[in-house]
Order: sequence, then C-alpha cells, then structure tokens
Amino acid sequence: MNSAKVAKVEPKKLLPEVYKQLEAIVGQDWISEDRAIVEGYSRGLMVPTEISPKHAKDPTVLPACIILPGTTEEVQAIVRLCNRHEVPITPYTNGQMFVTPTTSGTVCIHFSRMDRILGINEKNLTATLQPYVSYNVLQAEAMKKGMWNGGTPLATGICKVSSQFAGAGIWQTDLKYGTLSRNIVSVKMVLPDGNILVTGSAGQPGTENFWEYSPGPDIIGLTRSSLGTLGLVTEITVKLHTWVGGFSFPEDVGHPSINTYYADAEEKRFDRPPTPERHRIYWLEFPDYDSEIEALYKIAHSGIGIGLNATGAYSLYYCSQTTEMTNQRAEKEFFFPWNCYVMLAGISSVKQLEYEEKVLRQIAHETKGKFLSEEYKPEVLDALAPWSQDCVRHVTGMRMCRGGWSGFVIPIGRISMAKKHSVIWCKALEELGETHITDRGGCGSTPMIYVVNRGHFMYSETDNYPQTHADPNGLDKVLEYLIYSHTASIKERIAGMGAAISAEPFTSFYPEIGPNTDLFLRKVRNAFDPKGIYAPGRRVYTKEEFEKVPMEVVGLINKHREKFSLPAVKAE
Amino acid sequence: MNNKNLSPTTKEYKPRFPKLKGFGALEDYRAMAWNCVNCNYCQEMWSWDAKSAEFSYICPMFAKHRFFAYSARGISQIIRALLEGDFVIKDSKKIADIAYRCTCCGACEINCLRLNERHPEEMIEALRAELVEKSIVLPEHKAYLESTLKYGNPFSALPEERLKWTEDLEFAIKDLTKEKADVLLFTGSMYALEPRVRERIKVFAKILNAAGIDFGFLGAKEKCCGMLQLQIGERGIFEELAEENIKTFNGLGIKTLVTPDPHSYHAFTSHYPKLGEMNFEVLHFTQYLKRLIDEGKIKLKELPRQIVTYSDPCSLGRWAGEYEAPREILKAIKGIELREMERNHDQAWCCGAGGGVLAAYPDQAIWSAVERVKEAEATGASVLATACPWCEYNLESGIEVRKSKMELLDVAEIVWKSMKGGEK
Repeated sequence: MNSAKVAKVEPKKLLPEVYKQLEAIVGQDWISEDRAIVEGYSRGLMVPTEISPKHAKDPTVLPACIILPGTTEEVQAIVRLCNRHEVPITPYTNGQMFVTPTTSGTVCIHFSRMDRILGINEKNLTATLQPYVSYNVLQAEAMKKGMWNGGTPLATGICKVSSQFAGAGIWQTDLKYGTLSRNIVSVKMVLPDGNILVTGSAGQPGTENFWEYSPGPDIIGLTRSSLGTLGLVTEITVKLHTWVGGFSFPEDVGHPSINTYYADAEEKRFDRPPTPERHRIYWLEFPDYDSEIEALYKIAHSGIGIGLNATGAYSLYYCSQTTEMTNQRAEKEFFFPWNCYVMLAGISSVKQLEYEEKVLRQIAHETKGKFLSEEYKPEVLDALAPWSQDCVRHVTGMRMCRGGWSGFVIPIGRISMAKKHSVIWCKALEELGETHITDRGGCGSTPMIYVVNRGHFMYSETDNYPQTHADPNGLDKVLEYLIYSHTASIKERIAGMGAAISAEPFTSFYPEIGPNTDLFLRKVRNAFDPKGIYAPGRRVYTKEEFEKVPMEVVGLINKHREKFSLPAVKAE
Repeated sequence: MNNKNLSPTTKEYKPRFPKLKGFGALEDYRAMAWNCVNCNYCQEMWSWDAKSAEFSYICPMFAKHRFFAYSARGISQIIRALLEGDFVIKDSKKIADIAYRCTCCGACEINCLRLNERHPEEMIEALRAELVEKSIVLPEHKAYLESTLKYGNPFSALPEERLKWTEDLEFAIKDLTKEKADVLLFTGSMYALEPRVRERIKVFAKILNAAGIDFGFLGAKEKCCGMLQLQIGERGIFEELAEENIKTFNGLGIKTLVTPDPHSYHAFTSHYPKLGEMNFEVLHFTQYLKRLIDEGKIKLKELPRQIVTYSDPCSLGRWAGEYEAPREILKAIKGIELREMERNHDQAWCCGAGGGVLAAYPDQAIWSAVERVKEAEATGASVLATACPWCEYNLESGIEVRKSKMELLDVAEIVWKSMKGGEK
C-alpha cells in the first residue's frame, strides 16, 4: 500500500450522549461509529454528484454512525431523538443511489434487520412487507401461492420493495402491470418529526388494508416517488397478480464455478435458464427503426403479452458473461439493433398462449418483423437465453456496471420519442466524446425501450460508463452528458427522468418544464420536516441547500442552455 | 455480536509475508475496489435461484451482522478508502474483526465474477495479508500459524499423531516415503488430526483397499497443504509449505494424488500450480470414487429407502467446480433419493467453518451451521451428506445445537455403507 502522506477524511461524530441514547434504543450490537463501518455507507453508485465528493475527499459523505433498527417503534424512537438533537438522518436499504449523506454528522438508518414478509393475503392479492424484503424474496414466496408482484425493477430483483416507494422502478412487465410504484396499496411510514403515517384504507381505524386511497387528499401520491424525502417506510403493502409459471423457477442448465468461470462461459454451461411454465418469449428483428416503433405500438395496443421490451444493444451486457464477449459482440453488431422481445403468459389457459402467438405473428407480418428461431439466427437466439428468467426476475443487467457506471438518462414519452432521444444522445457522444465504447448502446442502434401500460407511454434509457478509479474527470464528463441530454430533451419537449435530472438541483434550473413541482414540494417538506433533518440535500432542497449549488454546476447548465437557445438561469 | 477489540499495534507475531507470485497486494485491487457498484449480490442469492424468504442470503457474515462492512461490498469500500488514504488501519477497531469474520466461501466471488468480473474474495485475502504484514493477527490464528511452523500442522499436534487413525485398521497402508504406489492418499491435517472427524479417514482407506487400489500415504511426514494459512493471510507460510509439498509429491512417483479435503484439493489445483509444476493428477476423493464406480471397481448395493440432501463444500464446488461427482455417486445408489436444498451448487450456503472462522468466531460458525441444518431439514431428508472435514465438524455442531435428528455422513461413508450392503 502506498504509504505516502495523503489527507484523511474524518467523519463528524455525534455527541457522546446522543450516541449513547441511540445505542439504548437498538442495543450495542446494532449501532456503530467505527471508521471502517461508516465507510461502507459513504458512496452512491450512479450519480456523479454522489461519487465525485469521494475524489474530493469531502467528509460530508461519511455518516456519523450506522444504526440498524429492528422495529417501527425503534425507527420512531431514533427519528424522534434525532429530531430533538437536530441530527440529520438518511434511510438505507440496498444503498445504490440517493443514499449517500450530504451533510456532516448524518445518522444512516439501515433497514437490513427488517427483512420479514409480514403476510400474504391470498384473497385480496396483497403482500405486506418490512422494508428490507427484496423482489426476489417476495416473488419466491408469492409464487408458492400462485401469485407474483408483476416483475422486478431495472435495478434488479435484489432491490428492496420498499425502495420502490422512493422512486418509480421500471421493467418490461410494466406493459401489463404498470410501473411498480403504482402497485403499492399502502405504507406505514415514520415521518421526519417522529409521527407515524399509515396511508390508504389501512389508515382508517377498523378498515382493512386493501386500497391505496382513503377519504381526503391522496397522501400516498404525495409521498410516493419523493426519493425518500418525506418519510421512512417501515411497512409496505403491495399488489400481487396471478402467476401461472410454477411454484418456483425452472433451474438453469448448469452452475459456474470460480476457477472454471471463463471455460464455463465459453462452453455455455450456465446462464441458460428455461422460461417459466406457461410463459413464452419471442424475439423479433425489424429492418429499421420505424418498423420497430410501429410494431411496439401494435403489440402494446393489441392487448397481448405481459412484457414488451426493445432491448437494443443492451443485450450486449445482459447476455455476455465477460467484458471481452461484450466488446467483441459490440464490434461485430452481434445483436441486431432494431429488435424487441415479447413475453406471453397463458394466464387463463394454454390456448391463450396459442391465440396471442397468432396475434403476434400477424403483427410481425404487418411490420416486417422476423422471428429469431432455430432456422433464423439460432446463434443469436441462443445467446439471448438469460432473458428467459431475467424478464421476470432481473439480475444480469448489473453487467452494465462493469468498469464503473455513472449517470443515466431515462426520457419518457410516446414510443416514437425514443428515436428522437437516440439522436440527441448520438450528438452528445460526438461532441463530448465517449467514456467507453459501449456508451453507444443508446445511439446508432435502438435504446432500451420499455413499453408501459399497454403503450400509453414508454421509458427509454442511455447510460455512461466512466472508469471511475482511473479517471475522476470521467465523472465530470458524465455530469455534462446528463446536462447536455436533459437540456436538449427540454428543447425537444421530451419529458426527462433519471438519477440526476429528476431531482434537485436540476429540476429548478429548467423552468420550461412547467410549474416546478419541487417549489411546491419544498413547502410540503417544510410541513413534514420542519427541522430539515431528513435526507437533506436529496430530492427536494431547502431554499438554503438550493442556494449552495456549486457555481461550476450552474455554469455548466447555463453553457448548455445557451447552446440550445434557452435563457440563462440563476440559483435563486 | 462478539466484537473483538483488536489492537492494531500488536507486534507479537512476526510475519513471513512474501510478495508471492500469483497473489495480488492490496494496491493491485485499487480499480476493483473503486468499481464496486453496490449491487449487493455479494450478500444475497443470484436472483433466478432465490426460492424463499428464509434462505435467500448467501454471505454468512452479512446475514449474521447486517452492516454492509461485513460483506464484500463494504470491504471493497474500506479497501478503496485505505488505498486512497481516507483513513488508516489503526483508525478502526473493527477492521480485523470485519476481515476475519469472512469464511472465504467464495459466494460473493462467484456472483461478482458473474456480474462484474470482480474478485472480492481475492481482495479480502489481500486485506488479510496486509493485516498479517502489519502483525495484526487474531490470537486463535496466531496459534494456528505458530503451530504450523513448529509441527507442520495448525492444530498443535505432534507429527506422529497423523498415524493415529491407522492404529486399528485391519490392513497396512503403504508409507510412500519408503515404498512406491500409484496413488497418494493425502489426508489433510483436519481429517488426520481432529478426533471428531478422524474416523472418516479410515472409511476412505477401506474403500481404496476394497477396490484394490495400490495406494499409500505420507504418514507422519505429511505436511499441511497451507490453504488455511493462505486464507488467514500468511502467504509466507503457504509458500514454504507449497514448495516443500510439491517437491515431496513430485519425488514419490505417484500417478494420482487423492485427497478427501476440498481445501487441500483447492490449494493443489488452484494455487500450487502458480508455484511449481506437479507431475501427477490431483483428484478430490469424490471424483476418484466416481471413477472407481464407473470403472466397476466399486460395486454399489441397494440401501434402505432414504432421502439424502447434499451440502456443497465451498472449496470443492464454488471454488473448484466439482458439483456433480458427489451428486452422481449418491444418485447411483439404489434406495437413495437425492433432494436439493434451496441454496445449492454455486449458491450453496457455507457451513460457516472456513477461513479461520471456526477457531476465531465459533459463535458465528455454529450459527451458520444451524442455518444450514435448518435448510437441510426443510428438504425432508434424514441424511445430510457432504464431502469436507470442516463442513462435517461444523455441521455436526449445528445438528447438536439444533437437536436435529438428521444424520451427518460423508459421501464416502454412504458409499461404504452401500458397498457393504447397508452396513457401515
């Protein structure tokens, strides 16, 4: 290890009496302010503004302590205590993004001990969960009873269902089941002032937990997708749906081992899971972008299928077991760019599958789509095998993270908007330069397109892959991509969403997007969190936090605003 | 939690830390440390394989302690911070506790390799090597290391104790330091010296004898394979043992080295080749058994109907890739129905004994074993089979603590029962 003298990063500690009181709530095993322990909670994944401070040795990203409560009551006691002492708090489940503290002396409340399924209601098709229950686990238990939750989010099946309350997880099965955040029936949350809020029908005394609404304003709608700004979810009830795919997933053909991994990959000894029972996946290729878009509209509107996804070049990651394989396939354009897959489920009967297949074949015929098969590109169809289970329980998309991953843009709009965004992303890469060859997954070929709610709208996606360890400036570049893309999208009237652009400070720098909801939410936040202790510097800034946005960021935004003929803005 | 307050200033242990060929120093993992993407697949099962809420974790250390630091994700961030100089080892009282609660089971390694081509377990071993270099060694591990230097085994046993298991054998075993044979039975220190599992080595020898194999052993001259010492972070001792063993083995004129200890198998097949060539094949006992069955040298007879579940030893399965030989053997025995536990093959749950955890943190080791026994019970099996002395030692503890009715047997013991027509 390099022994050269470099500056340490020291966390701000809590007052000893505050720490002792926290310890009294959970017991000494479940709290720590040890330097090594807090380091594990200091770094987000995908947001350059979260990673950059680590390069700058910014101590604000280091929590003062980590506390692991076991019950809602303990969470409440922690929050009340922190409120009394005006200690900032931030919640943690998997901790991939939007979690890194931004204020010195933050207490991280990690829910890792609260991982029980509290109940599955078979008659009402709901499951009530503690905050650390993952999609994998929920699906596994629900499938045993002939149900499932409708899919996993893009962020993978290991993510915790409660996190879905903070952000809108998206996935291909949103075609049938809608975005996962719309599948929430109710939450029990500890508000930043320590009060407990129960939403939906469950909030009414003597009423069952069956519906997301209750008389009066839509409280769940107000708090949902606030990126965790308005309260800590300690229980969540989600909708379940009928599942006909068997009591558990069919087993993969084989299992990799560490010492034989590369040979196993070469010999295709794993990553080839069968499709679940009474489910089928069909892969289609199209001659051009327009045919693909037309097919997506038609498939979505026809009412068939539970999942629809134009994977574009992203199968490069999902289906390639090594980086070398990914790069080789990128170079050879192994996966045809204009493609999509459709997942059919025989929910009512096997005949439903047959009928839906006929409809799909008719649409393919009308849109010049060609099915991958044992006769047509069998090697490509074979390579796409990981999707067979990934489409239901996502995991392999994490391969996009190889070598670092930071910053993504998810434009929303009509399905045809994806093409427009692809052009924007192409220009961004041409002007700013790529961070990695596979950044081009979002352009030159179709971006990932998730068709949602039977085609009412779509999400698209583009990503950056900077080598964070080697090139700290790569993060600045990613930030610029995001600003470029967001600004251009605003100009082109494409609605934006993404890790860095749907939250402060970006939202307030783009008045073109209409009434700035964050200006309203700033007031709401003051009502929920009068002392401003909860996840400060997150989704909705306080006025003071907003005014502290670095001038470099404001300058960068204005540089691109000017480029796209939008007037300059100020941090006020 | 047993939080050991380890002073990083201890200088009682003098390390033999070398810059060992094929093993990275902490600095070599800078990029890997930065590239942890917080996906948490080092803690929980590969998504497609999760079958229940109860058995969904794969990292025993995280499942028990629940802070991210007690997982490869947290350790990656700790290593990144150390390399960037954000803090130094002595700033943390927990760092050795964190590093040494890992069982080196490789569950994080396989998932991280599969997703991101990272090697978190290698990083953890490099961190341990860094700690050893700074003389930060747990007292229990210090005893292991000093015993190895003195006796050639970690258990403070005189070399002659390695002969104890042969005392009441009905046949003589060739001493390969004095005569030649085709096959070397490398017992490993655990089987040869730990009274609780020592009886099993007799079964291995009886099977070889019954199959008419020309085999022998090294007796009191056998030296530890060094895997435990390597995992603890003492690369110097490992190197000395490996070089000596390679020289000894090559001089025996054997065709095959067979070992029932997966840790030895892992050392011989994964790490020894980095230090020298070996002029013989190396097989785990289950692989050799499978060969003998296939060649018709072992005749299996029907056993009374029973359900058996098999627990993959981490060093044999996840690390070395041998998942199927033990299963195929069990399936070949009439009367046995093999049922898988929820966490199997590459996603198998570690028994909890590896990496020096059994000695340093017995509470965690037994907790982990009890979890595995619960999972085994859930299959409805009456027999919990495995093929590793550390798993056998620890899972038997788990059975005792849980007061389980399950019987713990090595795969070879089941084969021996079958060969004898139902008798042990």
